[in-house]
Order: sequence, then structure tokens, then C-alpha cells
Amino acid sequence: MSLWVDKHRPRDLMKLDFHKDQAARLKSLVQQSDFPHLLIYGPSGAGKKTRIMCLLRELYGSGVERLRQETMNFTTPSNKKIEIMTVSSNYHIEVNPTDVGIHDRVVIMDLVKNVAQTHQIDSSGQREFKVVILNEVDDLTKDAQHALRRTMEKYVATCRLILIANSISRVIPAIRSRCLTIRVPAPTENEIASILHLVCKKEGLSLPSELAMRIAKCSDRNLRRALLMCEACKVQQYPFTADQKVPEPDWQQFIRETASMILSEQSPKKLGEVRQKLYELIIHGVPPDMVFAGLLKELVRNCDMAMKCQVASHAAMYEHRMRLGNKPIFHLEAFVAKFMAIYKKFMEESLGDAF
Amino acid sequence: MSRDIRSFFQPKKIQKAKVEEHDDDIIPESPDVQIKNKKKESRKKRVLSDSDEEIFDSKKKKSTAEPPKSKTKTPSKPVLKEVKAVDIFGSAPIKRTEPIVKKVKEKKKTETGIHSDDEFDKSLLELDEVEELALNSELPSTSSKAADVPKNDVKTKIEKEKSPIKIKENKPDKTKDIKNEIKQEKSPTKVKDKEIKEQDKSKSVKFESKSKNSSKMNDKKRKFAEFIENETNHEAEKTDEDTNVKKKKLNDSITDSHNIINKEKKLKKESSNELDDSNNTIIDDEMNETKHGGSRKKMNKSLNESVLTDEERHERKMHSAALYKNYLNRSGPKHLGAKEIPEGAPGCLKDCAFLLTGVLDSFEREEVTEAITKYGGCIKSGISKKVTHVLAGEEAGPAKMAKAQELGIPIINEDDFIQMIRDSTNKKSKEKEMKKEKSPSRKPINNKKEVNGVSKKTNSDTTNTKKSQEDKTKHEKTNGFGSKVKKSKSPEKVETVVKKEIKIESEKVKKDNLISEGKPDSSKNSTGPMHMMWVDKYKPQNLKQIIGQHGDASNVKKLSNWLTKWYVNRKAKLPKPSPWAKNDDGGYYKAALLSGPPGVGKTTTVALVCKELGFDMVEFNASDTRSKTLIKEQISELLNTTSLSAYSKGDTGKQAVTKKHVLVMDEVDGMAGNEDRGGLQELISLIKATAVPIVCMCNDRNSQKMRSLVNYCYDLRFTRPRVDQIKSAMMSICFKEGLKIPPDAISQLIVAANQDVRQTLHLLSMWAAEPDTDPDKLRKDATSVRKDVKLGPWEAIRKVFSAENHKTMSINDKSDLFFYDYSLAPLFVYENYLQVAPHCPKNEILDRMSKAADSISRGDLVDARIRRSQAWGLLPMQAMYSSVIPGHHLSGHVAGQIQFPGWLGKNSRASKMQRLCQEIHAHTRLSTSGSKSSIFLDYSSHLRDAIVNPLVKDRSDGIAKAMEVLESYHLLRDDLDSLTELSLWPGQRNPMVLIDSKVKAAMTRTYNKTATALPYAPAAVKKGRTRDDADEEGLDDEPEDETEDSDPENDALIKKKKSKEDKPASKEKPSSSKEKPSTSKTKAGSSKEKKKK
Repeated sequence: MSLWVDKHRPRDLMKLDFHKDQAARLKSLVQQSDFPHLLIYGPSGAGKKTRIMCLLRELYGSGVERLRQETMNFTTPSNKKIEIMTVSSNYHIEVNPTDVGIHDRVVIMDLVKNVAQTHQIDSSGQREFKVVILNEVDDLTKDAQHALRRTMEKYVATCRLILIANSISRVIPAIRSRCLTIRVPAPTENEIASILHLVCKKEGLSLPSELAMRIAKCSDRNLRRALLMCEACKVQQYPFTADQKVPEPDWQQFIRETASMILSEQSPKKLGEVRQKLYELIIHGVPPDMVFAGLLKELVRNCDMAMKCQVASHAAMYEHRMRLGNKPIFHLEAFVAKFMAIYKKFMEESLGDAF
Repeated sequence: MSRDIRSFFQPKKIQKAKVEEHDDDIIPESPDVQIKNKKKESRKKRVLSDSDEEIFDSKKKKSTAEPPKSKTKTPSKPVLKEVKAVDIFGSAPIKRTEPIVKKVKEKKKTETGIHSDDEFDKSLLELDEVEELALNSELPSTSSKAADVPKNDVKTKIEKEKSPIKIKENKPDKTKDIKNEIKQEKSPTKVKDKEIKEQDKSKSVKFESKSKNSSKMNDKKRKFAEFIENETNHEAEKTDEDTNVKKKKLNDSITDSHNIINKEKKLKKESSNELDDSNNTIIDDEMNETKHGGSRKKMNKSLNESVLTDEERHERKMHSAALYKNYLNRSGPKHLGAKEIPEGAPGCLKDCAFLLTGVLDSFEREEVTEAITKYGGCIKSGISKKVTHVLAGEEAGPAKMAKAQELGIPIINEDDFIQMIRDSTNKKSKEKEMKKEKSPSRKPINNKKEVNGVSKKTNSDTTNTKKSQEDKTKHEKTNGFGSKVKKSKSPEKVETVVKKEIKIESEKVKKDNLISEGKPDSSKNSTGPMHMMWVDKYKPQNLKQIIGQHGDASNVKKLSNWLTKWYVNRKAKLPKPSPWAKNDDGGYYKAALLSGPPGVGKTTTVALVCKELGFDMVEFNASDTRSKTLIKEQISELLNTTSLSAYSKGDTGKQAVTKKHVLVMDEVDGMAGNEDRGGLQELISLIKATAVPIVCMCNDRNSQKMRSLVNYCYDLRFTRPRVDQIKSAMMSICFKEGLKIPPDAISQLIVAANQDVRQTLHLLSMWAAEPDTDPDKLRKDATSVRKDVKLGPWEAIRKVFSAENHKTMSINDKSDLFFYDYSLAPLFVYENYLQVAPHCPKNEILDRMSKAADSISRGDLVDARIRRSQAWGLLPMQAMYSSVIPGHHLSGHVAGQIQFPGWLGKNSRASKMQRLCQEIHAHTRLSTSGSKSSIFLDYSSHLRDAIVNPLVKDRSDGIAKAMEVLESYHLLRDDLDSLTELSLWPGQRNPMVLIDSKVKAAMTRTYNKTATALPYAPAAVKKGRTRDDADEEGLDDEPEDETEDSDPENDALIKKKKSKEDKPASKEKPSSSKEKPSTSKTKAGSSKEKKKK
């Protein structure tokens, strides 16, 4: 028994629930013989992967759904043996190069070469090319990205690359220009709500539309999260009521707590406590940029306009540094310290005015 | 009573004797500038009778304290009494004050000497009653004394200056004139004295009289000033001296005076006897004159009093109690920092031993102590003959003062002290000039004389400096003048005194020369035993020379005991001593292990002990290969042979053949690596079987390598010798080498070398190689040596934030703190910067913190760049951002304990979570979309709930449901644990706890049985799994299942087999509860169903 989010995943391009025109375009694309490299990007939970699987099914038929997992071994130039797990069918191979960290370049070079150099066994009635799916391309190191650009041109006859990214801002332009970039926007709240209704109907449940909207709002336009929350709501309390509590993800709660700590007191001691919270967030795999965003959102609530600008610009600066640096905690804490300094001064001034 | 009498009389006699004995010593130091002309002359006539001179000298020395009279009195007492009582009564009023003071002092001396602490206590009790009286008496004493001193000087000077101009015979007249003047003033005091003496010798009386004297003295001073003006005019004509340009003229005048002196001497020798007599009479007369009636009466009284001691004793007690009270209440320096200790010539206080007493006016005692040691002097705590100066401040200890007087030690105050240092530089330059000018045979003496003169001058200055500073300038002029005058005009007097001084001075000079010549000597020496390293040159030649190894409990002693008893102990089978046994002589052990830091003399000790006990040393050190085979074959063979080494020394016969070897394995902690593989093990087996003593040496006996060896060895630990132990040895070496190094620099050096004798010697020899030995530079060097000591990150981080250290550190020093460990330093700074209490206004703290944080974040950028592109050249930049700038912003002190960077731990935890997450991601890849972070953020908690909730709600009925979820997502049992770990936030309750342990166990069992086909090879995934997880699982389960869990069942392949077999099910039936069969059935059913599907 899978979770709803996986159970009710659409498998056909035409059955997708939103961005239907885009789906239609993809379908027409596939029906032509030429098929370019694709770079599909969009926020998490917008249905990129689902769309790709539908596309592949359209391309190769249901054979692509017979998946298998394999581990592949590579040797780095420094003689380090690395393993990576791939998901593949007869027609495609999917890999997550960032799993091996800084050695992703080796994976890309070897794996793509291997796959590209072998032709389809049964080319009759099938496409002449295989598909390589690379996940999280935006997290690839620059080296790996540069390694990719040449292979993309060289083996274009035998293999097509489908790159998946959250944002193309970190994909080098050379790759961007070699791909057909397709943006998959996050579904609107209404779309999410309608999908939630659909799913509940399939499950034989009745979902009040208010609750659906609340869940949609809560989910940050992330369909996956919305579905998971909806299921959690069902576990929590069924039959649904319109005003029932929507369980929020723990990490969001945690960020909110952290923010309220920062606002409650500005002192080095408090900063030390905040540091522990930040550590906890990082340990639990919350991407630090989301921590930045979450904190900023909470922190600026109490600020006036001028200060909002100031705080936001500082947050942006430190986030940028975090991207360039090694240790996110340093920059997170620097931001918090900066905010504390600004906020305390602001509070003192406003208090001074009051008296 | 009798005792009191003794105390009264004996000390006096002793004083006399002592004074006489020591006068010779004292003369050089006490400049005789203030010698009274009259007396000098008379003395000179008597001339060579030492005793008289001494008396006078001592008088002069004590001119500040006016001691001489007592001596003069005591010898002349009977004569005085009998002969000239009334005649001389009024003539010498001034001196009458002096004897009184003297007596007072003597009294004090005896009192303090006699009274023990108990008496002090008693007297404290009595104190309340008499306190006020005593205090009154005491307080004026100090002040009036101080006032007296300069005045007396003045008087003496007046006399001196007069005397040179006039003929001897005239002198008495003049002095008499003065005396007469003074007499008139004094008459009231006499009366008073008498009155008070009736009450006893209470000091208060004396002090009053003194104070009166002082008032008289003021008058005299005025007169004196006028007189001096006249004199200067007068003198100028005679000597053509300019007060400013002194030296040349001084020489001239001295040569003149010298001639006169020579003549005089001859005359004296001829008529010495006759003159002596006459002189004596004259002196006696004078003495009588000087003694005024009061003093005489006192003398009488003192005799009487020796009988009436009860009151006196009480009096003394009171006095001492008062003193003690004063001591307790005494204040700090009054004008602290008002004066500065001047720069003096290096070693200018050489050969001086100071005794500090009382509270100095403008220095802390420590400052003075430091200065004295800096200039080569030493400080004594008690008064003895060795003390050359008594540096007295306010409320100086009377006992010390009295004893100092008794021993004839000059008492100086802080101004004198400063002057001493200041003059030292002048002196040197003068000396040089003098030497240039003078060459002939006799002149050397003159030279010295002049030197003496100068020194006298300085001393006279110093004694005079007690006058207020306004007076000082005038005074110095007159003084300089006076001294010159004396030399030129009263040559005879000076001559005799000077003569003796010369002797002593010349000795001193010789010494100085020796010392100054030390350098060339050393160079000669070094050419002699051709360029031996000092370490070898001054290697201890016998056991006693080893630094810090004296005493019965020393390692040397222990080692030699152990060695001597070695053979005996082998026969007597001793039990193994407990490791905590104290005073173990190591009889049980066949080997000894000497451990200690380098440079403390381990090897030297062994070598010397062996030499002393006649053992042959077979030494292997790190330069030898000491592998297993080598030790086995060569060394063990060596030890079973006999030594013929004695033959080479010429011995024959039985003694020559000895079996006394010692195997010395030096640097055993170096026995590692490929070269010496197996060496230690072989060494241990060798120790077990050895027929000779074995001595091993290592630096760190606690190191891992030494663990095994330690059990077989007699443990002798060498510690670093104390600084003063090393220092004394180093000083003597420095002396031998003729190296002038201030002692404090040496001790700094020793500390800097971490009390490593060898290191210290090397550093010293380096200093010796440099021609320029400026003590200040040496001191600096010594501290800079210390710089090279490596700091740990903890100390370094403290320095980074310490405002104190920032004052003295350059930016380079600060960034050096980063480089002690550049990989850890940024983490340490980050971890601890929040704990710093910056020294700044409170409202700035947060601002500074944020600046520091900002800088740290910049530092991280640089760090990333460095690591990414191997741009190590950027490290200094990182040092600035990560350490120096935060340190600058938060300059203050670290308020808490320095923490080890938590980042490391957090980072490893984060990466563990990443790994778990990646695993789950990989496992669930087929059925989920989404990336790793979506597992973290969205899936983990929901997946966990999907599995756990049924178990919690439906207990064992929910197992099937849970299993379904696991299956559909291709999760392993272990993944459930990782899921809970991923989704568990601090402050939350672990949902696994809610599950009944039986249910959990049942679920584990069912999982183990129903091995589903996984789309991936679980073994490959398992690789990363730690053993701990399996253990945790085992703990969660029921005890009865433990056996199963501990088996390698977790392996999926084995599980499959088991599930196929029926045996485990049958086994479980009896033990498990009722639920279990049902669950197993359901599971079996479900699995079958799945298979069908």
C-alpha cells in the first residue's frame, strides 16, 4: 500500500492534471522523429519527474516502467572506487550524479560514454537512441557540467539526455543552449485543490473544499507535500472537518521557533542557542537556502519597510556567500547576528521614542 | 638584672670590637668626606693607630646616625668621668646630641635582639596602656632623625671647609667658636635632658632634645649657606677651580695634595709615638668638649640604670610593642611613581648586597628588587656582614638599622640608591678619562684615589640627599666643591683614610679587571680545548655534578642502588611489587626504564652511574638498527660474554676479566617502524632472560609503544630540574667562560628553553659567540626564544581574543595565532567567539559580534576558495578574516571555557543523516519521484507514520499494514530506524517508543520471515550500515528473540532460507504469546497472496 502521492501518480501524458497544453506539446514533440536534449526545470513538487516518465512511456511504451536498480562502479583518477546506484529500464538509465559528491564528473564521463557508445539492441520499431536522465543537474560541480557539454554533442546520435533541475540559474549557459529547456511551473493552489478532491474521490473520501484550499495554501504549491499532508489529515481525523488542523512539516515549525527565538531576545547568549537550532536544521537535511528563506519570512514580519529592505538585502548577501563558501552554518549565523544587531538597535530607538 | 647588665655592656663592647674589625671593610664604601677636620687632623698626627681611625671612620659612616660617640665614649669613659667632667661640659654641645641618639639606637638594638615573639605578644597586651606615650615618643624619632642627619652633615662640612684653610692649631678655636654659638642655643635642651632623665632614659626625651637640635641646626644651615658662599669665593682663588670643569683640576689638586701627604707621612712616622700621645689627649679633650654635660650624665645614669632594670625592661617592651604596631599598620609608598629608577651602567651594582627595610618613598619594594638584580646586585633578607648597603625607607626596622650600624654598613635611602645607579655611568666614563691622563708609577694610586674620591663624592651626595630636594641642588654644588676642597686642602686627613680605601679599592678594581678581562680569557680558553661544544665541555664528570639529582630520593641514587643490588636481587626471588608501592627499590625488575623529557640528563646519569660502579656500558641508541633478529643474535650474545676491556687499560689478572655489563637501550621509543620491527618484543623477551642489568631510556613512558615494556621495568622518572638549580650551574659556566650575562636573563632563558639543560647550554654558547652582550638585548633574546614554543589551539584562541595580548602583538603575531593550526583555528574562533566578553560599551557588543560573524563568514569564502582551487597562498588572508579581525572586533577576554569546535561533530552527524537519507532515497527510487531533499523534507515523517501508526494503533494486527508499506517502498527493516532518526526533531518523542516491544519484536520476526524480492542487492546497501544499528535493534527486541537477532539473520539471504523452513515457526510457538501464531499466519497468508499476485 503506497502513499497516495505515489499511488495516484498519472502515467500517461494525457492524464496529467495540469499544464495540459505543455503535455500536448511534449506529445507532439515525441511523435516527431527528432528529439532534442531536454532540460526540465521547476520547483520541487511540480511534477517534473512524473512528466518525464509519462514522456518516456509515450516514447518507448510500457516497457520503460519495468525498472531495475543497479549499482555501477567507477574508478576516479585518484584510484578511488566509487559506487553509484542507477535506475534503468531497457530504454533508459537514470542516475543521480550528485550522490557521489565531488566525483560526479567521473560518473558523468564514464556513464554517459558507456551508455552512449552502445546502440540499442533491437532498433527495429524502437527509437534509435537511449535516454539518460540526470537528476539535480543544478547541483553538479562546474567540472561535471563542463564534462557534460562535450559528450552531449558527441553522442547525440545514440543517446538523448534529459536533465532535471530545480533552477537553471546554476546550470552553465553552454548546457542550457544545448538543450530544449522546459519549465514546469508549480501548480496553482486551485489546481492542487482540485487534484486533492480527485484523489479523495478515488480513495472514496469526501474532502471539504475549505480544507482542500487550506492544505493547498499550506503546501507551498508543492503538490507532493499537499498530497502527503492530505493523507496525514486523513490519518489524523476522518471524516474531515473544514477547520481541522493541517499538520505542518516539522522543519517549518522548527524554523518558525528559531525565528521567534531570535525576535525574543538579542544577545550573544541567545545567538548561541540559535546556533544549536541552526545546526539541527542542517543536520536534518533542510537545505540552508530554505532556512534563509524561512527565517527571513518570519523575521521581517515585525519590521518596518526600511528595515525589511535592509534585512532582506543582508539575507541575500549571506545566502550568496553561503553558496560560495563551505560551511553554511557560518553564514546563517552571520545573518542572524546581523539581524540581531539591526533589530536591537531598531527596538532601542523605537523604545527611546516611546519614552 | 644581671642579664640586662650584660646586654647593656656586652653589646657595646662587641660593637666596638666589631666596628674596629670591620672598619677596614667599610672604609671604602663610606666616603670620608664628612670627616671632621679637627678630628682628622688629630688622628693624622696619631696617624697609624688604626683603632682611632676606625673610630672616626665609623663615625663618619654613621654620620647620618651619629654613632661614633658611643665608641669614643666607652673607651674614654673612665677617663672622662674622672678627669674632665665639668671643664669640657659646655664646649661641644652639638655632639652631645649625637651620643644620645647613638645610645637610643643601641638600646633599640638590644631590645629587639633580646625580645622574643612571646615578649612581643606580652608587650602588645601592655600596649594599650602605654601606647600613646610610646607612639608619641616614636613618631618624632624618625622625623627628627631624618632632620638631624643633614644638619650634622652640614656641621661637619662647615668644620671641614674651615679646617683646610687654617692651620691645625687654629682649628680647634674655630670649632670652639661654632660650638660656643651652638652652646648658647643648647643650654635649654640640657636642662630638659636632665629633667627627663630622671624619669628614665625614655626616648621621647631624647627625641625632644633632638628636635631642638634640629631647630638649632636650621639656624646653622643658614649660617652654613652664607659660609659656603664666602668659602667658594675664597676657594676659587686658591684652587682656580671651576665647579663645572672639575676633572683636570681635581687631578692637579690631588697631585698637590699627594705631595703634601707624602711629606706629612714622613713626618708622622718619625714622630708618630709622640704625636700619638699628644693627639690622644687632644682627641680626648675634643671628645669631652663634644660631649655635653647631658650626655655625660647619661653615661652615669646608664651605669646606674643597669641596676634598675625592671622599669627599663618594661620600657623596652612598650617600645617594641609600639614598633610592632607600627609595622603592622605601615602604609605603602607615599609618592609611588614619583621617581624613576635611572638607567645605569650594566652591572653597576655588582658586588653590592642590599638589605631593604621600611617603606620606600616612591617605589614598591618589587621595583627596587628588580632594579638591583638587573644591575647585578643581590638582595639579602637578613642583615649580615655580606650586606654592603642597607636601603632604608620610612619606618625602617630599628633592629636592622641598629645592626647595620653595628656592622658599619652604610644606610642609604632611595635617593642615594638612585644616585648610585646614576653615578655608575658617570663613574665609568670618568675612570676612562683618568686612565688616559695618568701613567707614572705613583699615579695609579692617585687614579684610584680619584676614583675613590668620586665614589666618595657620590656617597657623600647620597648621604646628603636626605635634605629636601630644593636643598639638593645647592647642596650638590657645595658638596662637589667641598670634596674637592678636602682633597686639595686637607690632604693629610684624607690621605690616611684614603690609603686604606685605596687598598680595598684596588682589590676591587682588580676584580673588575678580572671580570672585564674575562672575555679575552674565554677566547683563549676556547682555543685551548679546541672548539668543544659546551654541552660536552661541561658535561658532568661525576654524579654530584648532575643537575637536580642530589638527595637520597633522586633517580641517580635509585639507579645506583638498583644496579649494585642487581646481582644480589637475582638470587633472592622477590615478589612483584604492586604498581602503587612507594619507595620500591626495583629489586624485582631486571631492567630499568628511565623516562623524562629531553635534556634533563638521563643518558648522562646512566653513563656516570655505570662508570662509578664499574659496569661496562653496552649502548644501543636510535642510530643503531635494533630489529628483532639483531637483538636476538647480536645483543644477547654480547651480554653473555665477558669483557676484556680492562686489559686495554693495563689491568691484568682476574680483575681485568669482568662480566659486569649494562645493556643500555637508549631512545627505546624510537624503536618503531620497519627498521626495528619486532625490536620491542624481542627486548622484552631479552629482559626476561637477561643475565645482566638492562637500562632503557625513553621520553614518554605513557606512549602506546611503551605500554608493554613498562611492565617489565623499574620505573625511574626524570623531571625537569627547577630553574634555580639550572641557573646556578649555568652561572658558574658563564663565569668560567667569562661570559657576562645578567642572572635574570639566564633564568628567563632557562624558562624559555623549557628547563632543558642541554638547550640552555646551547643557547648560552650562542650568546657567547656574539661579541655584543648588551644585557637588555640578551633579555630580549631570552624572551624571543620562548616565542618558538608551540601553542595548542586552546591557548592560541585565548590569545586571539585577549585584549591584553593585543597590546603587545603586531598584526603578524596575531595572524601567527591562526597558523598554529590553520585547519582548526577558524573553527575554534567560530565556536568560541560568542563566549568572548569584549571590552566595550554594552550596547556595542551585538554590533561587534555581528561584525565578527561577518568576518568569519568571509573567512569561509576564502577557505572555500583555498580548498577548491588549492590556492594556499590565500591562507594569510583567511587568517585575517577568520582570526585576526574577529579578534580585533571582540578584543576582550574569553569569559567561559574554551570549547572544542562543535562543528566537527555536527558535521559528521549531518553527513550520517545524508547517508541514511541517500540510502532510503535509493531504496524508494522506483516508487517515488523526487530528490533526496524531498525525502528529508516531505517523505520521511509521512513514511514513518505510515509504518508506525498501524503498529501503535492496531498493535500486532497492524503489522501486516506496516509490512505492506515497507514492501511497496522496497524498504528494509533497518530503513525504518533511519526514517525515524531522520524525521525526529529535538523535543519530539520517538514514535518507536510508543510501539509495544512485543509488537516490535513480532514485526521484526515477520519481516525476517517474509523476505521480499528487492529490486536492489541489499548486501551492497548493507555495506554502509554500522554494527551499532544491529545492536540497537537487538535491544529493542524481546530477550527471547535476542538469540535470533544476534545470529546473522539480518542478512536477507539467510532469512530466505529460514522462512522456507518450518523449524523456526515451531520453535517460536511454545515461547511466544498467543498473538504470535496468528500474526505469523497472517503474514504467511499475506506473503502467499503476494506471491500469487
